[in-house]
Amino acid sequence: MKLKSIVFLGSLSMLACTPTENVTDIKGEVVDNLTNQVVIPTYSDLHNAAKNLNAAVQKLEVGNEEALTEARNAWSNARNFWEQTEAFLFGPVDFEEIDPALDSWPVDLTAINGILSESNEITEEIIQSNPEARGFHLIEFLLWGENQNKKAVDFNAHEIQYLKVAAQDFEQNTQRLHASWVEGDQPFKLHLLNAGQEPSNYDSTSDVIQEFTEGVIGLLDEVANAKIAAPLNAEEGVAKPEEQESFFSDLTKRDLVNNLQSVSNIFYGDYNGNDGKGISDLLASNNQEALQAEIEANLKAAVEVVNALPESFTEAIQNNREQVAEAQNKVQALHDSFVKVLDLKF
Amino acid sequence: MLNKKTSLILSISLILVACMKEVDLSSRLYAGGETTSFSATSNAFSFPAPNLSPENLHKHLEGDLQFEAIYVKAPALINAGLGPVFNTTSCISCHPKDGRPAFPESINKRSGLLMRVSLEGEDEYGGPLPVPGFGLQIQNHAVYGYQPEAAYSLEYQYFHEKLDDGTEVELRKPIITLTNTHIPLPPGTLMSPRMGTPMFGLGLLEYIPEEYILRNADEHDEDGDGISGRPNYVYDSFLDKVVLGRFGWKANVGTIETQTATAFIEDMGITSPVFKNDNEEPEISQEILDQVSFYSRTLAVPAPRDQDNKIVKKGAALFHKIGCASCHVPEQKTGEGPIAELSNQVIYPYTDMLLHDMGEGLADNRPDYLATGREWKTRPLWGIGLTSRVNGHTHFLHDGRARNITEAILWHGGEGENAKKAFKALSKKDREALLTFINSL
Repeated sequence: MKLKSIVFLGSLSMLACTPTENVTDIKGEVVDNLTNQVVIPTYSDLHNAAKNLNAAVQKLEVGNEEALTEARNAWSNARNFWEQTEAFLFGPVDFEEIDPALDSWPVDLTAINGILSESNEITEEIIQSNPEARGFHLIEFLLWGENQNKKAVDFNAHEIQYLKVAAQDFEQNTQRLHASWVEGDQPFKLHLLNAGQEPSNYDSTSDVIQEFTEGVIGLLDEVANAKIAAPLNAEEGVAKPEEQESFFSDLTKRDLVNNLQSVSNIFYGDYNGNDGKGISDLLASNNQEALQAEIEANLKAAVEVVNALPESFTEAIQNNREQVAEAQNKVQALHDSFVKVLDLKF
Repeated sequence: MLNKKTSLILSISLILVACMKEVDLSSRLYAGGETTSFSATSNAFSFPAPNLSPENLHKHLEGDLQFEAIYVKAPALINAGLGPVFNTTSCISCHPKDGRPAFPESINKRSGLLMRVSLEGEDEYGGPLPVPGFGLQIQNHAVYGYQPEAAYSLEYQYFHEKLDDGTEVELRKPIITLTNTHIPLPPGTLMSPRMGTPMFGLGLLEYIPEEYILRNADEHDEDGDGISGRPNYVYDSFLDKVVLGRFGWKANVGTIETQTATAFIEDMGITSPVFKNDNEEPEISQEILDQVSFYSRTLAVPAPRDQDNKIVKKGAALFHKIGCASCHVPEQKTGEGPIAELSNQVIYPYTDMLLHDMGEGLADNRPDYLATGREWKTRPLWGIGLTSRVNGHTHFLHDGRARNITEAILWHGGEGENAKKAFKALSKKDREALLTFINSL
C-alpha cells in the first residue's frame, strides 16, 4: 500500500509550526493511545482470530458441511481483524515481511494446484518457500474453490492437509506480528512512544502523528483506487470480478467495511469499547473543529454508502455499478479530507 | 577533463568550505528542487513529485499500481506472465517502499539481492559476456514445475578495522557461491552480488546534462587531488547506440526505459514489446512499460532534515574537509527534457554520477563496459538517513555488506582511501557530527 495521491498542497510555504494559542499539545497522548489501545489490541485480536481459524481448520473433514461452515466463518472473522489493521500498515508488518506472508495477492493457482497434485506431504517448508501460495488467499481458495461454490464433499484429504499446514503457518505469522510490537529488546511500539530518543526511528512525536495520518490516507487511496476501482473499471465500464481481492469467498464488501472501521479507529482513537484520543481529538485541541467536522461527516457518508452495498460485491460491481461508483467517490472525499490533516503539520 | 582555471576555482572553494566550522545548508533544503517532499515517515520515498500536473499525476499513479502488482504464472485470472525463472514477483519486493531491500536473512528466500554473472572478455560492444545457460544474471527461483538456474550458498569473511581513537569496528563481506546449478557453471565465471536501490529522484538524475557530469570527470587526475572519476559508456540495445551510463551500481544502464524493460524480463521473466520472444504476444503491454518508466522518473525526493542544527552543519563542514564531497558532490542541475516537472531543477543528490576505483576490498572483479572490476558509480546520498525509518534496516553497499554508515565508510579504498583515513582520524565528537550530517540527508 502506498501513498499514491498525496500532493503537498502547502509544501512550498511549509515548515511552519502549528499555532500555539489556545492549543494543548496532546500529540503524546494520541500516539500512546493509538499505539497501546488501538494498534496492539487489534493485532492481539487478529492473533486470537487466527488461532480460532487454525482450530476450525483442524476439524475439517471431507463431507462435513458444518465444519466447513465454521472454518469459513473463522476465516471471515480473522479477515475482518486484518482489514482493521490496514490503516496502520507500517512497522514490523512491513519490515518483517509479514504482510506478504499473510495477505499476498493474487495467489498463484498454478503453484497451488501443482503443490496439490504432488503426492508428497505438504510441509511448513513448502508453504514458506511459495510466497504466492500463502496466507489468507491460499486458505480462502482452498475453502471456497475457484468459483465460489465448493461443497464439503468436493474436498479431498490432500486439500485438507494443505489447509491444516497453511492455517498453522498463518497463526504463527499473526503471533509474530503481535509479538514484534510488544516483545523483545526493542518492541516496535517503543519507536512510536519514544520518538526523538535513540534508538527510535522517528525524530519527533510529530513524525509519528504524520505516520499514522499517512497510514490512513494510504489505505483510503487503496480502497478507492484499487480495491473498488479495479473490479469496477479495470476494463472501462465492464466489471472484472477476479480483480476483487476476496473474490473466492465473495467477501470483498466486508473488507471495505472493515477498512473504514480501521480508519474510524485511528480517527476517534476508540477500539472495542475503549474510548481514547485519536486524530479527531488532535484536530479539536488545535482549533481545527471545522476539519474535524468535515472528516466526521465524510466518514459517516462513506460508511453509509459502503454498508448499503449488496453483501455480494461480485453482484454489486455488475448490477449496482452506480452505487459502487458512489462508494468510490465517498471514500475519495474522505481521503482528500485526511490529506488536509497532513498539511497542518502537527 | 577539468581545465586548470576550473580546478583552481574548485580547489579554492573547497578550501573555503573546509576552513568553515559550519556549512550553511539552507540552500540545500529542496534536495529534489520542485519535486521535493517534506515527509519524514516510512513513506518518505513513495510520494509522487508534488509539482506533477494532474495528467502526469494520473500517469504516475497508474505506474504505481503496476509497480506494486504481484505477478503469477500464466494462465491466471490477473497478473499473468511470471517466469519460468525469476528472482522475484513484483517490482516492489526489490524496491520495498521505493527504498532499499534488507540483506536476506535466509540466502535462498525471496529477497532484493541478485547475482550478476559473466564470462571473462567482452561482447561486440565492450560489454559483459553472457554465460551460456545463465545469461548475465542468475534467476534463483522458478514457477511451479520448473527448475531455477541455481541456488545460493553464503559464507562471511570478517575483517577488523581500528579507528585512530582505538574504537574497533568489525566489517564483514558476504561470499556467495552457486549450488544446484541447472547445468554446470563454466569455470572462471565472474560473479557479483547486487542489492536493489531506491526509486526516487531517478528522473532527475536522468535529466542531468551529460556535459555537466563530464565537468566533474578527471580520469587521469590532472588536478592531482587523488580523485579520478570517469564516465561509463554503455551500449543501449533499445536505442541501438552507445550512451552515458547513469543507473546501476556500475552505471551500466543509460535510460530508465531500458532499466524497466530489463528488470521485467531478467528479474521476473516477463516479456514486453522491448524484450520478447518471436511469434508470441508480450506478457505486458507497451502502455504498462511506459507507465512504470514514468513512475520511476517521478517519485518525490525527500528533503533533508535538521539542516539548521549546529552539529549537522559542523558535520557538513567535515564532509567537505575530509574529501567526501569530491565524489559525493552535493549539487547538480537538470536540463530540459520531455517531463517539464523534472526540467531545469537545482538538486542535491550528493553524487558526481561517475565511476571511481574503490580499491581491492570492494572490488567484485567483474568489469561492465568501461567500469573495471574495482570501479563503482558514486551512490547518491539523498534520503540515506531515512533508510532505517523507511525500510527498517541500514544495509548499504552493492552486496549489502555494510550494516551501518560507519562500516560503509570504512570500506572506501582506492580513490576513497584518503577520505577513509581522515574519517578514522577524526575525534569521536567530529565523527558523530559527520554521521549526524549524513543521517540528516
